[in-house]
Amino acid sequence: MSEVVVTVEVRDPIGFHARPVSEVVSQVKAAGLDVVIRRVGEEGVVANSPLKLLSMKVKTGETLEIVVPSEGVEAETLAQAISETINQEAP
Amino acid sequence: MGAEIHGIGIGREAGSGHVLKWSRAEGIDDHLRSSTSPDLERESLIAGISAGAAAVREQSAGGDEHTAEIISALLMIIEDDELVAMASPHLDAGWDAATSLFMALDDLNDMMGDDEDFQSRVGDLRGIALTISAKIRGIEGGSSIPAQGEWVIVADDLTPVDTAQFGPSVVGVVTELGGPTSHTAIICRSRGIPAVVSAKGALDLAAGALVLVDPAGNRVVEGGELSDATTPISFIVVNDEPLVTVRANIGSLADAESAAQTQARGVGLFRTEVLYLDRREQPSREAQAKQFAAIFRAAPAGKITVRTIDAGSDKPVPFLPNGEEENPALGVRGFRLGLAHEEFQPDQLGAISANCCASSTVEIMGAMFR
Repeated sequence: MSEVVVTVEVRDPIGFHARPVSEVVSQVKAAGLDVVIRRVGEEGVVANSPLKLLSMKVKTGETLEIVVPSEGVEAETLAQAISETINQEAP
Repeated sequence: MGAEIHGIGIGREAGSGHVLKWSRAEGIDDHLRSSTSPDLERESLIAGISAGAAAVREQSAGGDEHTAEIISALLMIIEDDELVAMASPHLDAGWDAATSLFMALDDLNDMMGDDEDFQSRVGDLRGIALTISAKIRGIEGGSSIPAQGEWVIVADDLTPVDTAQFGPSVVGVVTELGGPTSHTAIICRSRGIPAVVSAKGALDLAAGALVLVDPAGNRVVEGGELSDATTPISFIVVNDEPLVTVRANIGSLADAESAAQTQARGVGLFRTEVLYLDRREQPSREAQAKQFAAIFRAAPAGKITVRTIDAGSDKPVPFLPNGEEENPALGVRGFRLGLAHEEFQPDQLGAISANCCASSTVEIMGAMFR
């Protein structure tokens, strides 16, 4: 199956924390797709659970991959939007 | 303006809001064993979460956008299936649904020990958990504070479990009992909530009535408006360097953060028991170390005096039980309680000292040694 992968470096000074996590989950739920967020080379988690995302304990400076299991402009827009949410509070 | 009630004012600024008569739901946060099976408890937990979340949504409907966003983020965490998964080992160990939920939140707190954004929300999550517990255990009568509106909490006196639920909608506190150094006064002072304590007649205030809490005037005025408030004495800063160093009094990360916004130079008293009052199990040394690190980082620059746990008496810690005593205020409390629980005190000291090297200005103080 085709997928869109967008890579993002976490620049928020307190990492990928509770507020952006909850917004990402809203975006993923609204899209109705099993979007996966993972560290490079790891399995990652389906981004519809705030607790699973928080338990990844992603720190500033780490690189994440956002994997949208779909293709086309919409999938790319979604992946891009999620990567922006992750850094929405970054300076 | 209507009738006045007199007491001891806490704080400088006045607040005006509607009376919310505080009542405590007995047994809402007790540690209970299951009388059924883990599977039935799990069903009851899932039903309780959905009923509790619905109640919180209803209470907070129609408010400002910022609060609504926070509440929806909190509910998303509470309603995450993963939370039930985190409660499962406790259900399997024979605890009832509400106790397992509290324990899962403790686990989550330990896991997220160094996420400062999350730490500032832990109290809110516990507040929602209490609402869920009330649904699960069928307890009624406990007050819950609407997230919207402006409320003046009126009570005989307040405990740490009560004040832990205070959010931005609490604009004033009036208690019949208590004094200038009671728990209620300390919390209100540190959180900037106007309060009048030791106010005889407070419990006669009508629920829902608009009142002015006027600490500078040591009074509560029925029907009073903010413009009626007494003007507090003001101090004007004339020196950059203080003649007398004033240090902050803190008990939590939120306190440390707000103290850092003031002129305080360091921390004169860090009341560590506050970190444990709502914990059902002793946090690991590592989790404690993370919590201390975050607080030391956030605190105003300067010397930090950390008091080892001073629990017992009126501030019982669930995981450090203590027998009945004739005079608990002078009994097994403070460092004595730590000594009576050898599994606790070395861990706490270890957790504090793990972070001492980073900031060389941490001092440790103990209460009630002999």
